[in-house]
Amino acid sequence: MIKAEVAIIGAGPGGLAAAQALAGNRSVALIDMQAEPGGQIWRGAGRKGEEGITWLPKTTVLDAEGDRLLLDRDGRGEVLQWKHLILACGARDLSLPFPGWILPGVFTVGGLQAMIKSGYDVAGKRLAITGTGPLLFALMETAQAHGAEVVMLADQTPKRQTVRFGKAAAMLKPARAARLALAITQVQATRCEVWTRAIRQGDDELILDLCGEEIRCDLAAVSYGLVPNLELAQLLGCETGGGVNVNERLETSRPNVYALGEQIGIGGQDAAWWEGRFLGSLLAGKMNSHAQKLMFRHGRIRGFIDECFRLDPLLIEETQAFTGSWCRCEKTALNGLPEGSFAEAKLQTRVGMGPCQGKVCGAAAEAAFGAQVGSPRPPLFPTELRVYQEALEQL
Amino acid sequence: MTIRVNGKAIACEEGQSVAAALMNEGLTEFRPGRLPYCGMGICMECTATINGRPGQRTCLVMCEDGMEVTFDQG
Repeated sequence: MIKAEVAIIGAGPGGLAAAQALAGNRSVALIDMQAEPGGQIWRGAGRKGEEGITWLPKTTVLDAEGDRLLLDRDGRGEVLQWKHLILACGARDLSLPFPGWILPGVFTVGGLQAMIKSGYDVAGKRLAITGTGPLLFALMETAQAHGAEVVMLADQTPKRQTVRFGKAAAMLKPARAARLALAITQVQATRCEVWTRAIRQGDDELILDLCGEEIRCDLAAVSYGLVPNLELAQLLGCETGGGVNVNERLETSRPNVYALGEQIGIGGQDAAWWEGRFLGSLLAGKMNSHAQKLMFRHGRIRGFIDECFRLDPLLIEETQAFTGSWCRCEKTALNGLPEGSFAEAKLQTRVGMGPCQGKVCGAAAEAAFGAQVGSPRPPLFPTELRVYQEALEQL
Repeated sequence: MTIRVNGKAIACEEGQSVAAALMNEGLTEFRPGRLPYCGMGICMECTATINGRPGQRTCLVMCEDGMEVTFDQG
């Protein structure tokens, strides 16, 4: 059994910042599913070599029992006992299903970004980016830097809203805003208030229906913002709303369990970083008022992102009417939301019963129907029974 | 550096995910009609058996020289 005074789940900006503030003061275990620290945004560019940090890469949390976590540590079952637990599990893309969303070459926006950053070669490929939120622009920059031709950038948000967000973001980071503005000029076409209605397979290309306009591309990236990865928080019994509920000291409803970054609402890397700094210092016994000030300043962007990139009611209506495969794993339709309940839909249709355990289609049902998906069941990710049993035996 | 996919050697680089290496090789499906989707270990579309361990998310696994990757279907 591994023992740590502070266990941190997720080595993105927030988790890393907390770990660095704690290093040398408390024993720390830092866990991530990836091989390198940095989370989805930095991907391997994070630092890990701090003294006193037990770095557990390629590790997935399967289950929680009292003050212990059951881990799949690169194929071995292990148990980690904690005194304080920091949830820095980040977020994932929100998908809204449409005809063709399962076709090869259609990615989530963050997904294609992640694939490019981990070595997928997109040079010379025509890419259409649609959906909503700041991530569309981040992918545009990454794809262009790697030689892709962005043939379309379309956000369902009215232009005035995107501009409003852009102005606020530019005040925080003027240099980045200038780079972004330049990158947008290289995109062949940008659109507002339209979205991907359908994608079909053409001869050796994808044909995208952008609310009536036909776009031909090799790759399509479609996402409607981000949703926090709440499964572990819910399993631990922490209260959640749109994110994990925390007070101003980042304490959840469960004693000695804390949450930060995208876990408590989508706010970006700066909010996560300063929350990590603040919380790490606090658990090391120091009040870091500089970090606290910056945490509050950057945290204010949270409600603002939601407000600027609200989903169009017409888009929601179209999604609700979608009769194709709602669940990618099981290829089953949702056909409305039977009896208004995702649990009932699972029983009737097998939606959400595949290997992803509803992480994709459940979030979509929440966004489109306001459905409560309910608490997840362990193991939180698929693993071999052998691994789960190895961990259980160490409890 | 190479990995073997269903017995066939393909070139890859340090710091490259198995999923990315397979995509660059021109693999058109990981399972029938599917390619990676979420790229971050959530959707399970890109799983394969790696060095004998089934159900591995190839988007999370970095290439290592001599790695054996097999797909049951497709």
